[in-house]
This record gives sequence, structure tokens and C-alpha cells, in this order.
Amino acid sequence: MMSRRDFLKKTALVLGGVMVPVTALEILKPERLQALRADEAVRWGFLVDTYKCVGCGFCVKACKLENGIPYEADVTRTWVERYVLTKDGAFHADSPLGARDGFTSPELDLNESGQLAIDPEQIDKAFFVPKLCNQCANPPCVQVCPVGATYQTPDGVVLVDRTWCIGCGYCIMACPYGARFFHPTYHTAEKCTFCYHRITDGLSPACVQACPFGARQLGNLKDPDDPVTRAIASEHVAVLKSEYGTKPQVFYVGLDWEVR
Amino acid sequence: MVPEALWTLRDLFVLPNEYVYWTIQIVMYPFMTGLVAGAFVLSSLYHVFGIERLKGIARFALVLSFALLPAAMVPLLLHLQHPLRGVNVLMTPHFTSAIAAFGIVFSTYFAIVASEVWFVYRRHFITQSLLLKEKPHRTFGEKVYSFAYAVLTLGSYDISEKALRTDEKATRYLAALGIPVALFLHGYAGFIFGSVKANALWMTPLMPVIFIVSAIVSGIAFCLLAYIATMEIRKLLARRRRASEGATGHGEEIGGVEVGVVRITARYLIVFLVLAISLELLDVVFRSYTAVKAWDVVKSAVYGHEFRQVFVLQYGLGNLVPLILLLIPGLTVRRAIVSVILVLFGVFMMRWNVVIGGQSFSLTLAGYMEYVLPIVPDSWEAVKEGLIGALGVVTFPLVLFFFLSRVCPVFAPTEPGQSR
Amino acid sequence: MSGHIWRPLLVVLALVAVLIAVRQIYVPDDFGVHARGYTYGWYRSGSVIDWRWMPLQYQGKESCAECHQKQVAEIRDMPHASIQCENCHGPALDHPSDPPKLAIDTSRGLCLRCHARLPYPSSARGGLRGIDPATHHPDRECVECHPPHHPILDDVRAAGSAQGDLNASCRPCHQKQVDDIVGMPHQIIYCERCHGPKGDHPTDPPKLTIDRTRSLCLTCHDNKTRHNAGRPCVTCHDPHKSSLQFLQFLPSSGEASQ
Repeated sequence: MMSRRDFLKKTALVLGGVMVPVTALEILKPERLQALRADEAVRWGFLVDTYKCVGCGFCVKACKLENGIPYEADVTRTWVERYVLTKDGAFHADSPLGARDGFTSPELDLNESGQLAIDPEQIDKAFFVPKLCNQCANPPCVQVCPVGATYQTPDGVVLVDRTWCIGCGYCIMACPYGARFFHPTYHTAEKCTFCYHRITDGLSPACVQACPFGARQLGNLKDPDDPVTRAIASEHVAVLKSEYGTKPQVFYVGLDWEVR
Repeated sequence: MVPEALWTLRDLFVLPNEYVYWTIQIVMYPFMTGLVAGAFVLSSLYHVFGIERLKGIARFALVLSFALLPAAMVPLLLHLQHPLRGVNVLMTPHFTSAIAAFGIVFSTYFAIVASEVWFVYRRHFITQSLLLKEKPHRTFGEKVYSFAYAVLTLGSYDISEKALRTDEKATRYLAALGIPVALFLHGYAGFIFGSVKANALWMTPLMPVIFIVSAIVSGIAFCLLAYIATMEIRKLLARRRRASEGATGHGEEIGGVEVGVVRITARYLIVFLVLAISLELLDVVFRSYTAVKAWDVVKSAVYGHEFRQVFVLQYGLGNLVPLILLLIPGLTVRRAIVSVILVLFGVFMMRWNVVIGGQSFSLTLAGYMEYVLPIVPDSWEAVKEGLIGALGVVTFPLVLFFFLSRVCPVFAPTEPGQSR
Repeated sequence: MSGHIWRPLLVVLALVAVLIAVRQIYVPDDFGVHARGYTYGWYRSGSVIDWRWMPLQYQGKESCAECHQKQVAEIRDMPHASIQCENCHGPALDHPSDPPKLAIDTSRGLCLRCHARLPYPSSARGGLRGIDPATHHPDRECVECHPPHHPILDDVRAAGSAQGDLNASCRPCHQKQVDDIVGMPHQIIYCERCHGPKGDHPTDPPKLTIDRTRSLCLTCHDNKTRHNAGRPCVTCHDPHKSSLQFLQFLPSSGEASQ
């Protein structure tokens, strides 16, 4: 007759022993290993032409309305920056509300430092730079997520699982481009998704469609005949902050050295 | 209005999504785990290396370390936007992230400290359990205690000499095992910041080392402070008790703080303090020498808006002044108290200057952000991530320690015949 | 070795077993390593489907063209042709089911996005015509004078009319009417647009006609087709005054003051 202690001991051992292969089976499921070898025919890429952008901000407005980012909240999945470089070599830049309402004043909005008026005669060059998530090939934001709430799809888009994100904010700190923020309602990490729900249905992202000047374009980098792919291959284009090794997939025509 | 806009002031060119996302609670978390790690290392110095003069403080440090552990969880729970999902870190850990290490390291460390506490107090649990069991009429409180002690024995009532020697051996092994784990617990916190290449101030391989060393500094300082406080309170209580009972006091004379213990602990504190200062200065010197792209804005933030926090409060008040006070020969308890409080303040400011300082300049390298700690809250976020939340985090371990010391008494017992 | 030494370890192992058991229930089955490996592909695959099923808000110009051919034709040869309808009219959502009517944003801010003059060299913005919002009729909406679907007003200027000074040939005799219309939105319209070619007036013809038809006004004010349909606009609105003022039109006021 087994003593109670021995019984408890043996039960614990058996249970523990069973847990190990059960867990292993989960991790080594055949379907999972299959998925590791999946080869996608699509790799989404983006082309921004800074010469064409006029700073109207229709892209920002369209993005907010398409993707349910509260209009009044000062966070956005995409934004436009204005750069004004003057003859004395000074650097000026702003992005009021992320250019949600466009740029309707020649004065720069410098937040706590107020409005800055610049004499138009003193302007050497001034231009607008639209920005969005670069859907990096080596996304540092995905690398630092502690729970696997953010990830990259096989076609290259980085998404966030709103049901799993714990809201630690590590991915927001890890993004060198400032593309991420906390959604004011869902309280999970949020970022541009290239309008994944649209592009997987053959539509354009809201910002691409809204731009009246064709400053934004989406393409398939795996298709050699795609206009975006051709432009990247044949024209002089640049990416943002390549020194971080993130391998961004948003390419810029006419990216000035002063752009941050 | 996003909650983060409540406490962030932005200046010049800042990206639209940039706010101070990691606030006071993220400053509190490494500070609390630093106290945990440091207290544990101090306790282990006695149990592993047998430094007899630390015997008086060793048990105290161990229980304090154990009380601080659940308290270290609180800043994280207050910071998370979805605290109930915090368990996801244990369920689907993504080990490429330093924060995922939290689940494993914290649990391991918890298990080690809990086990060590169990081995140290096992005899106390057994004797108390037996005592209460034998009592014919028990109050409700005594019934609760009796049940608690019975559970805490984990079913073993063996207090033979052999068993007690095994306890000592187990304690030694656990203390030894716990030292690297305690270092890892704090090293990974440093890695969380040091590995973020996007942040020009955080990104340095020195970060984990700086964090570990300053954690040890804070742990030793905290233990010393708590030791002095508790010893003085004990002396006060004993004196009051003796006065009411009359002159026939029994047991040992409660002498209060032993200067010898304070002086030896202070020596270790000096060593680690010097090490911590050297590492931080090394970091600053390297940055200014190499002057990479971000250096201009980091320099203007550190020497400009953050000057008071970095040079006056942290380096000056928090490092230099206490170091001088401790180095002056003939250390008195009073001077030790002042030094230790300043050291703790300095360590706190170090955490502050890393977390908040790293967010004091924009990713554009052409703008600044100022964190305004919410004092009078006007929303739940302002409570959680404000002064009230911070004070709660600091007082919680002390409350926990008080209740824990009812079950695990931290001072040598006055009953005759018991040596530990 | 005494048995009791392993008890804490057993407690820990029991807790780990509980954790693994709870994990089986708590973590969804589709959570695991997917295409991009453990570093970038550790997620719940159902999340991708969640994102694909997000509702669409914007339909795009092609869908508007199915019903609103008139507006599409109007705007086709205009500079505004490249602007998406929904940029000014808001996302179509499920229009025409829901909502049945889209709002029309007539605020100044909308037009100023492009037409607040910013003379920036090296940017397409520098090539866009614009005004200084602080000085150019700051209290009016742009659409009071500038119809968004055909912003170029060439068709309201009759061929051969004098450029330059406002209605120079009409002012000497009809000072009152010119005074009335100066400062009003309609000052940009030449008299001949509504009163016909001047010819040799006052010799021949001695009196110019006044085109009082709805269709004339609706050339610009095309958003008013359903407004009091069937009645001439001039029944209530004096064309020489602000279009928002309700005034009774007095037929005799067309005569020369001399």
C-alpha cells in the first residue's frame, strides 16, 4: 500500500513528465515547420516623391478616417514634415498635428517655442516629406516585443495583434522612425499597416489614393515590372536612417540630407 | 488628447507620435529591483563567504529582499496599458526581447529567494507550528497563524541536528546560486535600455554593467538604512518595555546599532560607489570624444535642460557628497545615515536620468521633450504614472516587510538555547 | 540526504506544471512560429485575418463616377480633377445605403491646405496658386466665389470684354450698380455675363437684357439645384449684393442714375 507522500510524489512526476512532450509537440507541429518555408510572391514596398508633395495633408486625414484613429488625438499613422532651410544655414522644421490639417500658414509651429515667421526672401529651399511606417525587413520593433503581439507577415507588413498586446511600449521606444504610438481607445501599440485590409483586396492604401499629386505609391518589390520597383531600380532613391540596419522598405525620391 | 500628452511638453521639432511613454513607473522598476538584488547580494556575502561581521544584517537583508520582490512587480503592473495581459510574458515569451527574460529571471529569482527564506526559517516554522498546535484554546488569530505555519513547514517536522546542517548547506548553495541570478535580474534591466539602438542616450554596451553596479550600491545602502532604522526602533521599544516591567530585564541588552557592522558595510558601499561613478564617467567621456551624430542634441539636453538632474542631483548630491562623507575617517552612524540616504537618492536619479533623460530629446535630434511628473492627478493615468503611484510603490514593500517579519522574525531571538 | 531538502523544488515544479496546463487553455492554438521565423514571425496567425477583415471607409473616385456623372464631367478638365471626391466629401463608407448623403466640407481650411500661398522653391507647393489667408476675405468661405468643381472662371468672362479695371465702360453711367457690386463676391463677374454683349449701348441697344434664369446662376451655384426649384433665384437674391443676403430684387434699380 503506497503512502500518501509516495502517491503525491509519483503523480507529480507523471504529470511533469507528460507536460514535457506535450509542450514539445506544440512547438514542433508539422504545419508550423511547413509555414517556415512559405515563399510569398508579394513583398510590399512604398515610394515617396518629395518633389511632388505639397503638404496638403489629405493623406493624413484619409488615413485617420480609414483606420479609425481618433481625429482629435495628436497621434497619427502617417504624417508630413515641412523643412525650411534658410540662407544663413539655419535649420527649421515642423509638423503641426502631423499635417492633419495641412500647412496653412507660412509660420512654423515649434510647439512650446511658439510660431516662427520666416522671411520668404531668406528661404534657400523648402519642401515637404511624408513619412509612415517603413515596414522594415529587420524590424527592431518586432524584435523587442516580449509577448509576440507584433509581427511581420510573409508579404512584409508589420502588424500588431490588438488582442495580445500588453501595452508595455517597448516597440514604441525601439522604433527609430517614431512610427508607433498607443491607440487612444484600444490602448495597444498602433502603427501604419499599409492599409493591409485594402491592399490585400487589390485597393490602394488610403493615403496613396487620397494624394492628388501622386507623391505616394505602393508597389510589389518582387514584381520587376511594377512601376515602384522600376523607379527604385533606375532612379536615385534613398531610405531613412539606413545606419540602424533596419532595412526600410519605403524609398524616397529627392530625400534631402537635412531630413531627420 | 492622448494620456501621454498630459505630462509631456514638446519643444521645437518633434515627431507627431513622440511623447514621454516611459515615465516614473519605469524609473521605479529598476530602482526597486536594484534594491532587491543589492539586498540579496549583501545577505549572500555572509551565507556564502562567511563574513562573520555581516551576520547581524544577513537575515534582515534576506527577508527585506523577499519583501521587495512582489513590490518590484507593482510598477510594471501600473505601467502596462493592459496589466491583466501581463501574464502573456510567461505564456508566449518572445526571447529576442529583453523584457521577455523578465518572466523567467524573475520567477527563478523568486523561487531561489523563497527557498532560501524557507531553509533559514524552517526551524522557526516548525517550532511555532508545534507550539500553536499544542495550545488548547486558540484565538482566531492564533488559528490563522497555526494554519500558516503548518503549511509553511511543507509537511516536514524534522529539526534534528542533521536536518539543520542540511538546511545550512542548502542555504549556502542557494545564496551562491542566487548571486549570479540577482546580477542577471539587474543586468537584463540594463540590457533593456542598452540594446535600444533607436535611443541615442541608451544605446551603449556599458548599460547592463552600470545598472548592475548601481543596483548593488543601492541594495547595500538600503539595507544599511533599514538596518539602522530597525535597530533603533527595537532599542526604543525594548527600553519602553523595560521601563514598564521594572528593572528586572532578561536576555541580552538591546544595544541598538552596532557601529562595526555599519563601518564594514560602508566599506563595501564605497567600493561599489567608486565603480559605479567610474563607469558612468567612462560612458560620458567616450560619447563626448567620439561625438557621433546624436552627440550635439544629447549634449545640449544633458548640459542644458537636464543639467540640474544629472550634474547637481545625481553626480553631485548623489555620488560625490556621500563618497566624501563615507571616506572621512571615523564614520559615525549619523554620518552614515546621511550618506546612505544621499546614495539612494543618487541611484534613483541615475534611473531617472537614464529613463527620462533618454526621452528628453527627439528622434529628429532637433527637438526636446520635458516630462512633468503629475502631482495632483486629474485622471487615472495621472495617478498610476504620477507621484501617488510612485509613493505607493515605495511604501508597499515596507508594509509587506512588516507583515513578513511577523512570520519570519528578522532579529536574533532572545530566548536562551537558540543560536541563530 | 534528508527528504525535506527537495520540497521547495517540488513546489516550484508543481507551479511550472500548473503554468503549462493553464497555457494550453489560455494561448490560442494558432499562436506559434510562422513564415518569418521566431524573431519576426512569433504571433497568432488569426491576427492577420483580423486585419484583413477591417471595414473599408473610402471607396474611391471610380465608385462615385457610377452615379455622379455630371460632377465628374464638370471637374474632368479642371485642375481639381486629380483630387479624390472623398477628400472634400468625406469617406463614402456604404454610400448610397449608409450614409444616403455625404456632407460637403465648405470650410476655408480645406481649400487652404493647397491654396494658402507658400512660396517654396524646390517644392511643388511653390507652383500652386494661393492667397494669404489672413488678408484674403478672412471672414468668408472660399466657395462663395470659387466653385470647387470648376475653379477656373473663364466661362463667365464673355469674349472681348475689357480686362483690368472692373467694368470700366459701364461705371461712368451706372456708378450706383458698380458701387453696389464692388466688395461683393460677384464683382469678379463681368457685367456682360448676365446683361449680354454691350455692343453700342447706350446708342444701340438702348437697353441691355438681364438674364434672370436659374440656369445662369446654377452655372456656379450648382449646389442649389434643389433649392426652391422652379423659382428664379433673383426673386429673393439680389445679384449685385452678397449671395447670402435675402433681399427683394427691385426691377427698377437697373436704370441709369443720370
